[in-house]
Amino acid sequence: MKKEELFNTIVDANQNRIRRICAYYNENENDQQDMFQEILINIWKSLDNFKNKSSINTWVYRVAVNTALSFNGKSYKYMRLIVTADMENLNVITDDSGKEKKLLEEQQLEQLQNELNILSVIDKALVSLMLEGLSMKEISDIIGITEANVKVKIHRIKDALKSKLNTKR
Amino acid sequence: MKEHTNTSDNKISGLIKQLKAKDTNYSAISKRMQLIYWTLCPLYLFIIIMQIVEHSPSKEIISSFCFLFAMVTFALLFRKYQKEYAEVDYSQPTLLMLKKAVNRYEPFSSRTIGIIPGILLVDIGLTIKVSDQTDALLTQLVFIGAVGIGLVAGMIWWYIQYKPLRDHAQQLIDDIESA
Repeated sequence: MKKEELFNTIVDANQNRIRRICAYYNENENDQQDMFQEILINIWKSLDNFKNKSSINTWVYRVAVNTALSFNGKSYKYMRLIVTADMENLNVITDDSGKEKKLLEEQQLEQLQNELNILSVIDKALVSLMLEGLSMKEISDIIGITEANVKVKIHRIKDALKSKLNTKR
Repeated sequence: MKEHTNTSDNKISGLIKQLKAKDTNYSAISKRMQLIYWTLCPLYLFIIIMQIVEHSPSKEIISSFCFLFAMVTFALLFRKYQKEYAEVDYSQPTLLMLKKAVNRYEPFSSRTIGIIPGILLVDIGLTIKVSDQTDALLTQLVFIGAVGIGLVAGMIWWYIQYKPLRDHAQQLIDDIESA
Protein backbone atom coordinates (compact mmCIF):
# COMPACT_ATOMS: atom_id res chain seq x y z
CA MET A 1 0.00 0.00 0.00
CA LYS A 2 1.30 3.45 -0.90
CA LYS A 3 2.13 5.85 1.93
CA GLU A 4 -0.69 8.18 0.91
CA GLU A 5 -3.26 5.37 0.85
CA LEU A 6 -2.08 4.02 4.21
CA PHE A 7 -2.24 7.51 5.69
CA ASN A 8 -5.81 8.01 4.43
CA THR A 9 -6.87 4.61 5.77
CA ILE A 10 -5.38 5.31 9.21
CA VAL A 11 -6.86 8.81 9.41
CA ASP A 12 -10.28 7.67 8.21
CA ALA A 13 -10.38 4.89 10.78
CA ASN A 14 -9.02 6.94 13.67
CA GLN A 15 -10.31 10.44 13.06
CA ASN A 16 -12.78 10.38 15.95
CA ARG A 17 -10.22 8.88 18.31
CA ILE A 18 -7.70 11.60 17.48
CA ARG A 19 -10.33 14.32 17.81
CA ARG A 20 -11.26 13.02 21.27
CA ILE A 21 -7.62 13.16 22.38
CA CYS A 22 -7.44 16.73 21.08
CA ALA A 23 -10.63 17.56 22.99
CA TYR A 24 -9.12 16.26 26.24
CA TYR A 25 -6.33 18.80 26.04
CA ASN A 26 -8.01 21.83 24.48
CA GLU A 27 -11.24 23.57 25.30
CA ASN A 28 -11.04 25.89 22.34
CA GLU A 29 -12.09 24.47 18.96
CA ASN A 30 -9.30 26.24 17.09
CA ASP A 31 -6.70 24.77 19.44
CA GLN A 32 -8.27 21.34 18.99
CA GLN A 33 -8.05 21.76 15.23
CA ASP A 34 -4.40 22.89 15.48
CA MET A 35 -3.51 19.87 17.59
CA PHE A 36 -5.45 17.61 15.22
CA GLN A 37 -3.40 18.91 12.29
CA GLU A 38 -0.18 18.54 14.27
CA ILE A 39 -1.05 14.92 15.10
CA LEU A 40 -1.79 14.17 11.44
CA ILE A 41 1.54 15.73 10.45
CA ASN A 42 3.32 13.54 12.98
CA ILE A 43 1.43 10.45 11.80
CA TRP A 44 2.60 11.22 8.27
CA LYS A 45 6.18 11.78 9.42
CA SER A 46 6.24 8.60 11.50
CA LEU A 47 4.42 6.42 8.99
CA ASP A 48 7.63 5.04 7.49
CA ASN A 49 8.48 3.63 10.91
CA PHE A 50 5.14 1.90 11.34
CA LYS A 51 5.61 -1.81 11.71
CA ASN A 52 2.78 -4.17 12.33
CA LYS A 53 4.26 -5.07 15.71
CA SER A 54 1.78 -2.96 17.64
CA SER A 55 -1.88 -2.51 16.85
CA ILE A 56 -2.71 0.48 14.72
CA ASN A 57 -4.89 1.89 17.54
CA THR A 58 -2.02 1.82 20.03
CA TRP A 59 0.27 3.35 17.41
CA VAL A 60 -2.17 6.20 16.74
CA TYR A 61 -2.65 6.86 20.45
CA ARG A 62 1.13 6.91 20.89
CA VAL A 63 1.56 9.54 18.20
CA ALA A 64 -1.39 11.52 19.59
CA VAL A 65 -0.17 11.48 23.19
CA ASN A 66 3.42 12.27 22.21
CA THR A 67 2.18 15.17 20.11
CA ALA A 68 -0.01 16.41 22.95
CA LEU A 69 3.03 16.34 25.25
CA SER A 70 5.18 18.27 22.83
CA PHE A 71 2.50 20.33 21.14
CA ASN A 72 4.06 23.44 19.66
CA GLY A 73 2.96 26.75 21.03
CA LYS A 74 1.34 25.30 24.12
CA SER A 75 2.51 25.76 27.64
CA TYR A 76 2.46 22.23 29.00
CA LYS A 77 2.06 23.32 32.58
CA TYR A 78 -1.25 24.95 31.80
CA MET A 79 -2.47 22.20 29.55
CA ARG A 80 -6.01 21.46 30.62
CA LEU A 81 -7.66 18.09 30.64
CA ILE A 82 -11.22 18.52 29.48
CA VAL A 83 -13.75 15.93 30.51
CA THR A 84 -17.43 15.98 29.69
CA ALA A 85 -20.36 14.34 31.42
CA ASP A 86 -21.24 12.15 28.45
CA MET A 87 -17.98 10.25 28.44
CA GLU A 88 -18.96 6.66 29.02
CA ASN A 89 -15.66 5.72 30.61
CA LEU A 90 -15.63 8.51 33.17
CA ASN A 91 -16.49 6.11 35.99
CA VAL A 92 -13.14 4.36 35.59
CA ILE A 93 -11.54 7.23 37.48
CA THR A 94 -13.87 7.42 40.42
CA ASP A 95 -15.30 3.95 40.57
CA ASP A 96 -13.04 0.92 40.49
CA SER A 97 -15.61 -1.80 40.89
CA GLY A 98 -18.34 -0.33 38.76
CA LYS A 99 -20.86 -1.59 41.33
CA GLU A 100 -21.90 1.85 42.30
CA LYS A 101 -24.19 3.23 39.67
CA LYS A 102 -23.77 6.94 39.53
CA LEU A 103 -24.10 9.81 37.25
CA LEU A 104 -21.79 12.62 38.07
CA GLU A 105 -23.66 15.76 38.79
CA GLU A 106 -22.51 19.01 37.33
CA GLN A 107 -20.90 20.12 40.56
CA GLN A 108 -19.02 16.87 40.97
CA LEU A 109 -17.90 17.02 37.38
CA GLU A 110 -16.57 20.51 37.90
CA GLN A 111 -14.71 19.36 41.00
CA LEU A 112 -13.31 16.41 39.11
CA GLN A 113 -12.30 18.69 36.27
CA ASN A 114 -10.46 20.98 38.69
CA GLU A 115 -8.68 18.08 40.36
CA LEU A 116 -7.69 16.58 37.01
CA ASN A 117 -6.15 19.85 35.94
CA ILE A 118 -3.89 19.87 39.00
CA LEU A 119 -2.40 16.52 37.95
CA SER A 120 1.02 16.37 36.32
CA VAL A 121 1.10 16.30 32.52
CA ILE A 122 1.95 12.61 32.50
CA ASP A 123 -0.88 11.80 34.90
CA LYS A 124 -3.19 13.75 32.63
CA ALA A 125 -1.99 11.66 29.70
CA LEU A 126 -2.65 8.47 31.70
CA VAL A 127 -6.14 9.67 32.62
CA SER A 128 -6.91 10.56 28.99
CA LEU A 129 -5.93 7.02 27.95
CA MET A 130 -8.03 5.55 30.75
CA LEU A 131 -10.98 7.60 29.58
CA GLU A 132 -10.48 6.07 26.17
CA GLY A 133 -11.04 2.68 27.76
CA LEU A 134 -7.56 1.34 27.01
CA SER A 135 -6.20 -1.62 28.94
CA MET A 136 -3.19 -1.33 31.28
CA LYS A 137 -1.15 -3.29 28.73
CA GLU A 138 -2.04 -0.85 25.94
CA ILE A 139 -1.27 2.15 28.15
CA SER A 140 2.09 0.63 29.08
CA ASP A 141 2.86 0.13 25.37
CA ILE A 142 2.05 3.75 24.66
CA ILE A 143 3.92 5.37 27.56
CA GLY A 144 6.82 2.92 27.57
CA ILE A 145 6.72 1.79 31.19
CA THR A 146 5.85 -1.59 32.65
CA GLU A 147 2.25 -2.66 33.11
CA ALA A 148 2.85 -2.92 36.85
CA ASN A 149 4.11 0.64 36.92
CA VAL A 150 1.03 1.85 35.02
CA LYS A 151 -1.20 0.06 37.55
CA VAL A 152 0.59 1.68 40.47
CA LYS A 153 0.37 5.12 38.92
CA ILE A 154 -3.29 4.80 38.01
CA HIS A 155 -4.11 3.43 41.44
CA ARG A 156 -2.43 6.45 43.02
CA ILE A 157 -4.26 8.87 40.75
CA LYS A 158 -7.61 7.24 41.56
CA ASP A 159 -6.89 7.26 45.29
CA ALA A 160 -5.81 10.87 45.25
CA LEU A 161 -8.85 11.93 43.23
CA LYS A 162 -11.26 9.93 45.40
CA SER A 163 -9.90 11.30 48.65
CA LYS A 164 -9.98 14.87 47.34
CA LEU A 165 -13.51 14.52 46.02
CA ASN A 166 -14.69 12.87 49.25
CA THR A 167 -13.14 15.62 51.36
CA LYS A 168 -14.96 18.28 49.40
CA ARG A 169 -18.35 16.55 49.62
CA MET B 1 -23.28 13.85 6.73
CA LYS B 2 -22.01 13.24 3.21
CA GLU B 3 -21.15 16.91 2.92
CA HIS B 4 -19.25 16.72 6.21
CA THR B 5 -17.28 13.72 4.96
CA ASN B 6 -16.44 15.53 1.73
CA THR B 7 -15.26 18.61 3.64
CA SER B 8 -13.22 16.37 5.86
CA ASP B 9 -11.74 14.56 2.86
CA ASN B 10 -10.88 17.90 1.26
CA LYS B 11 -9.14 19.00 4.46
CA ILE B 12 -7.10 15.79 4.58
CA SER B 13 -6.24 16.01 0.92
CA GLY B 14 -5.13 19.63 1.50
CA LEU B 15 -3.05 18.47 4.45
CA ILE B 16 -1.34 15.78 2.38
CA LYS B 17 -0.25 18.53 0.00
CA GLN B 18 1.17 20.45 2.97
CA LEU B 19 2.89 17.32 4.27
CA LYS B 20 4.42 16.59 0.91
CA ALA B 21 5.55 20.21 0.70
CA LYS B 22 7.11 19.85 4.15
CA ASP B 23 8.89 16.64 3.18
CA THR B 24 10.11 18.27 -0.03
CA ASN B 25 11.24 21.28 1.95
CA TYR B 26 13.28 19.16 4.37
CA SER B 27 14.77 17.28 1.48
CA ALA B 28 15.55 20.54 -0.37
CA ILE B 29 17.27 22.09 2.68
CA SER B 30 19.31 18.95 3.18
CA LYS B 31 20.18 18.85 -0.52
CA ARG B 32 21.21 22.53 -0.56
CA MET B 33 23.46 22.21 2.50
CA GLN B 34 25.08 19.10 1.12
CA LEU B 35 25.58 20.86 -2.21
CA ILE B 36 27.43 23.73 -0.48
CA TYR B 37 29.75 21.41 1.42
CA TRP B 38 30.33 19.01 -1.42
CA THR B 39 31.07 21.98 -3.71
CA LEU B 40 33.75 23.21 -1.31
CA CYS B 41 35.41 19.79 -1.28
CA PRO B 42 36.35 19.66 -5.01
CA LEU B 43 37.30 23.32 -4.72
CA TYR B 44 39.88 22.45 -2.06
CA LEU B 45 40.91 19.43 -4.11
CA PHE B 46 41.46 21.74 -7.08
CA ILE B 47 43.57 24.06 -4.90
CA ILE B 48 45.63 21.05 -3.77
CA ILE B 49 46.18 19.91 -7.37
CA MET B 50 47.21 23.43 -8.37
CA GLN B 51 49.60 23.60 -5.40
CA ILE B 52 51.15 20.28 -6.43
CA VAL B 53 51.43 21.36 -10.09
CA GLU B 54 53.00 24.69 -9.10
CA HIS B 55 55.37 22.94 -6.67
CA SER B 56 54.11 24.94 -3.73
CA PRO B 57 55.74 24.28 -0.35
CA SER B 58 54.61 20.94 1.07
CA LYS B 59 53.30 22.56 4.26
CA GLU B 60 50.78 24.51 2.15
CA ILE B 61 49.64 21.30 0.47
CA ILE B 62 49.29 19.51 3.82
CA SER B 63 47.41 22.52 5.17
CA SER B 64 44.95 22.39 2.24
CA PHE B 65 44.47 18.66 2.82
CA CYS B 66 43.57 19.43 6.43
CA PHE B 67 40.97 21.96 5.29
CA LEU B 68 39.60 19.46 2.77
CA PHE B 69 39.17 16.75 5.40
CA ALA B 70 37.66 19.30 7.77
CA MET B 71 35.06 20.21 5.10
CA VAL B 72 34.21 16.54 4.57
CA THR B 73 33.89 16.03 8.34
CA PHE B 74 31.59 19.03 8.77
CA ALA B 75 29.52 18.03 5.73
CA LEU B 76 28.94 14.51 7.01
CA LEU B 77 28.24 15.71 10.52
CA PHE B 78 25.79 18.34 9.32
CA ARG B 79 23.99 15.78 7.16
CA LYS B 80 23.67 13.49 10.17
CA TYR B 81 22.25 16.28 12.35
CA GLN B 82 19.81 17.36 9.65
CA LYS B 83 18.52 13.82 9.29
CA GLU B 84 18.26 13.34 13.02
CA TYR B 85 16.29 16.55 13.61
CA ALA B 86 14.05 16.09 10.58
CA GLU B 87 13.09 12.52 11.40
CA VAL B 88 11.71 12.70 14.91
CA ASP B 89 9.62 9.60 15.38
CA TYR B 90 6.46 10.36 17.33
CA SER B 91 5.32 6.76 17.21
CA GLN B 92 7.86 5.56 19.76
CA PRO B 93 6.81 4.91 23.35
CA THR B 94 6.58 8.25 25.16
CA LEU B 95 9.41 7.54 27.57
CA LEU B 96 11.80 6.58 24.77
CA MET B 97 10.80 9.61 22.68
CA LEU B 98 11.45 11.90 25.64
CA LYS B 99 14.84 10.33 26.40
CA LYS B 100 15.89 10.82 22.79
CA ALA B 101 14.67 14.42 22.93
CA VAL B 102 16.78 15.07 26.04
CA ASN B 103 19.77 13.57 24.26
CA ARG B 104 19.17 15.72 21.16
CA TYR B 105 18.94 18.90 23.19
CA GLU B 106 21.97 18.30 25.41
CA PRO B 107 24.66 20.91 24.70
CA PHE B 108 27.41 18.33 25.08
CA SER B 109 26.87 14.67 24.34
CA SER B 110 28.76 11.84 22.70
CA ARG B 111 27.56 13.19 19.33
CA THR B 112 29.37 16.47 19.99
CA ILE B 113 32.70 14.63 19.96
CA GLY B 114 32.23 14.29 16.20
CA ILE B 115 32.92 17.99 15.76
CA ILE B 116 36.34 17.81 17.45
CA PRO B 117 38.22 16.18 14.52
CA GLY B 118 36.89 18.92 12.18
CA ILE B 119 38.00 21.72 14.52
CA LEU B 120 41.39 20.08 15.06
CA LEU B 121 41.89 19.71 11.31
CA VAL B 122 41.17 23.41 10.75
CA ASP B 123 43.56 24.27 13.62
CA ILE B 124 46.30 22.02 12.24
CA GLY B 125 45.76 23.44 8.75
CA LEU B 126 46.06 27.02 10.00
CA THR B 127 49.10 26.26 12.16
CA ILE B 128 50.96 24.50 9.35
CA LYS B 129 50.21 27.37 6.98
CA VAL B 130 51.87 30.08 9.09
CA SER B 131 55.61 30.33 8.76
CA ASP B 132 57.38 31.10 12.05
CA GLN B 133 56.82 30.22 15.70
CA THR B 134 55.53 33.66 16.74
CA ASP B 135 52.89 33.57 13.99
CA ALA B 136 51.92 30.02 15.00
CA LEU B 137 51.40 31.14 18.59
CA LEU B 138 49.34 34.11 17.47
CA THR B 139 47.32 31.85 15.14
CA GLN B 140 46.63 29.50 18.05
CA LEU B 141 45.50 32.36 20.26
CA VAL B 142 43.22 33.79 17.56
CA PHE B 143 41.85 30.33 16.74
CA ILE B 144 41.23 29.38 20.37
CA GLY B 145 39.64 32.81 20.91
CA ALA B 146 37.37 32.32 17.89
CA VAL B 147 36.39 28.82 19.03
CA GLY B 148 35.78 30.18 22.55
CA ILE B 149 33.54 32.99 21.25
CA GLY B 150 31.68 30.45 19.12
CA LEU B 151 31.26 28.21 22.15
CA VAL B 152 29.93 31.01 24.34
CA ALA B 153 27.54 32.19 21.58
CA GLY B 154 26.41 28.59 21.09
CA MET B 155 25.81 28.14 24.81
CA ILE B 156 23.77 31.35 25.00
CA TRP B 157 21.74 30.21 21.99
CA TRP B 158 21.25 26.78 23.59
CA TYR B 159 20.28 28.32 26.92
CA ILE B 160 17.57 30.43 25.30
CA GLN B 161 16.32 28.04 22.62
CA TYR B 162 16.92 24.49 23.73
CA LYS B 163 17.48 24.35 27.48
CA PRO B 164 13.77 24.88 28.27
CA LEU B 165 12.90 22.01 25.91
CA ARG B 166 15.55 19.77 27.43
CA ASP B 167 14.45 20.65 30.98
CA HIS B 168 10.82 20.06 30.18
CA ALA B 169 11.48 16.68 28.58
CA GLN B 170 13.63 15.73 31.59
CA GLN B 171 10.86 16.78 33.96
CA LEU B 172 8.39 14.57 32.09
CA ILE B 173 10.83 11.65 32.26
CA ASP B 174 11.15 12.18 36.02
CA ASP B 175 7.35 12.22 36.31
CA ILE B 176 7.02 9.00 34.35
CA GLU B 177 9.80 7.20 36.17
CA SER B 178 8.75 8.21 39.66
CA ALA B 179 6.74 5.17 40.65
